[in-house]
Amino acid sequence: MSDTPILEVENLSKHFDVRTGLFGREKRTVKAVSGLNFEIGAGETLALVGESGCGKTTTTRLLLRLQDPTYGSVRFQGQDIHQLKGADLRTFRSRVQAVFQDPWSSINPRVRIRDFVAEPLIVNEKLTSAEVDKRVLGALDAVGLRPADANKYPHEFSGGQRQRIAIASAIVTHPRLIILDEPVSGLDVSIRSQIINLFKDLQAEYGLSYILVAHDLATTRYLSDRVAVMYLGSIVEYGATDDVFDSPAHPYTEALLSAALSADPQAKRNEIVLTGEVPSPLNPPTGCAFHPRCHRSLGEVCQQRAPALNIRDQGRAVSCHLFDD
Amino acid sequence: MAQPPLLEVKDLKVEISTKAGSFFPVNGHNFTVNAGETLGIVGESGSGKSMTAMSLVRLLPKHAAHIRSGSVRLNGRELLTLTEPEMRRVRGSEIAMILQDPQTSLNPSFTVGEQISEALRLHSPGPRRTLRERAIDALRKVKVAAPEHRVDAYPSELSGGMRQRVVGAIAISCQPKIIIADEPTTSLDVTVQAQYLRLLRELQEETGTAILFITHDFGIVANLCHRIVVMYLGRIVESGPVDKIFARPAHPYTEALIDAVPKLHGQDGRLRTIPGQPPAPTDQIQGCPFAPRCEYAETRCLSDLPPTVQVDGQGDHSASCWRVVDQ
Repeated sequence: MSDTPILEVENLSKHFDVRTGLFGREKRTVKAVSGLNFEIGAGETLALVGESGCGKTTTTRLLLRLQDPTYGSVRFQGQDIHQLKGADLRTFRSRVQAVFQDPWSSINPRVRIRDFVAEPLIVNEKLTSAEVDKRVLGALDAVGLRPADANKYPHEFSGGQRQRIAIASAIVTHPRLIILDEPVSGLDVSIRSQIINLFKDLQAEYGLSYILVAHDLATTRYLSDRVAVMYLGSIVEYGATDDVFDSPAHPYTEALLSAALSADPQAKRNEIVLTGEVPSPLNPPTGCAFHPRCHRSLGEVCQQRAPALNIRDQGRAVSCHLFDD
Repeated sequence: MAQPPLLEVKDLKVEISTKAGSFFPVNGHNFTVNAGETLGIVGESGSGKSMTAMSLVRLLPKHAAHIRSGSVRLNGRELLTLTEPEMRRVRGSEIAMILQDPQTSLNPSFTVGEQISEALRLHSPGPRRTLRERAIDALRKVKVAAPEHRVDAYPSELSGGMRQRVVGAIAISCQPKIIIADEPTTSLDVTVQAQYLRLLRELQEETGTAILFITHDFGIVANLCHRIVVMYLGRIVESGPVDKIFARPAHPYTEALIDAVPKLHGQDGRLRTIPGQPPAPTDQIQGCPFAPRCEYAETRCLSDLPPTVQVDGQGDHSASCWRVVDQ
């Protein structure tokens, strides 16, 4: 992937001020996301992996410009998205789309499928109604729905078909990048593989880039080219998906992968069961955020100093004192 | 297997009547659970997994669902003919349940200790002070740190994983013979899920309790269960030891489901899909319920329901499919 990336994220951070204590007299800062750096090339899939509270959702909200960062920048096709205005902003909105987890709540139940799918086109692009119709039918066809479905209402569809409708409305504007936030976790196993294959087909056909947020590691491995493992708002490991899955470097990645259950009773597992749960981002541990749960902690250095994200060979980066030189 | 099974379900049928028509979410179930064993019930939404669990403890929604026939025997005792007070004594003390969402199974306005003691008081009463001691004991067994303090905590003060441990503590507090766990880890994070599954395994080794584990996750099945029962549209389509079913699934539905899940160790090519979607439970289906989506389906599959037959000569693996009948 030698050409310029379509999305570049630099030092992206989002902090929230919250009031705690009696009557909210105490003011504290939650660092939901701090210092993220990554980029995505055309036709590439980057997965964000981590447990609840790791900042995946905040990250996707920043990338969609649903929220402004505290500092840092997101550049899409060279332009800082948080500075965009007017026509440029509308172009950005049609080039970057999203598909969310729950197809029951992301589709307005009182609107015909035709109108739901057309909405991003009508908001962001100036087209005649004949052109809109053509694009809507094209999008429905691409996700495997029939033209007759355009006149139906959402309740006439099952969960898997609804997710197809949500995908149709995401691709109708011919986007370059789609953010997939847990796109198959609400679906039954037999339907899930249909949708996963559909994502692959659409990517091959239109050269789409994806940012995939998923907690299911097997799905992540199947769909993504590169993966960023997040813990408590920071990236702790980054690299090509196969490399990271085959030889995880960060102890957290190692534990996360060992906790993922392979659907194969013969699979030998080197089980690392972490103690405790993800700490509150309101009160993160000192030093490395992972040290209280780490099975390979080096003691003092981990408790006191936060490790830097060290770039190693082949685009692999790890943030852990074990790999300090 | 010289010992009789701990739980024996025979020809169990549950009917639900709705305005849209009536149907059987549990349609002629036959299965057994042995002491100290984990049986997995696997299926997609609407397959009748949870209705199966609820019918075993007779907690089906009143008026809407009725047990039409069959028998459920626990240690040889028929549960379906017990009176409601008798059944109440069985629930909690002999059969315990762990449900999906610890948020809703715990009462937010009572402390953890009070809720564990409630179960103890109902099934093996004792003085107040020893109840508290026993509640702390139960918390210690489910590896809650600092149980002496946590016993006075309210559910809202605990994390999701911790709450599910408390539900586990209530479940084991009366030393049940069997625990029914209905997707207990769905709301937990991966690393917390791993902790919880390990805990269940350890508790089982210590106490010898049997577990009936309901899930749609083949990862959990492969790692936790000894035997599994695969359900589709209210029917058991295949049952047997987990190793056998993963190595050589006999029913096309089981085979397709296993292949449809991406593998953790990576793979190339497209995922196998199952065409179409599960029919609505109220659909009148003649023949095999999976036939409309089955790639091997023949004409008789659409008209005649296949019987449940043994897959091999060993008697522990059975499936309900005409292809197996013909073998």
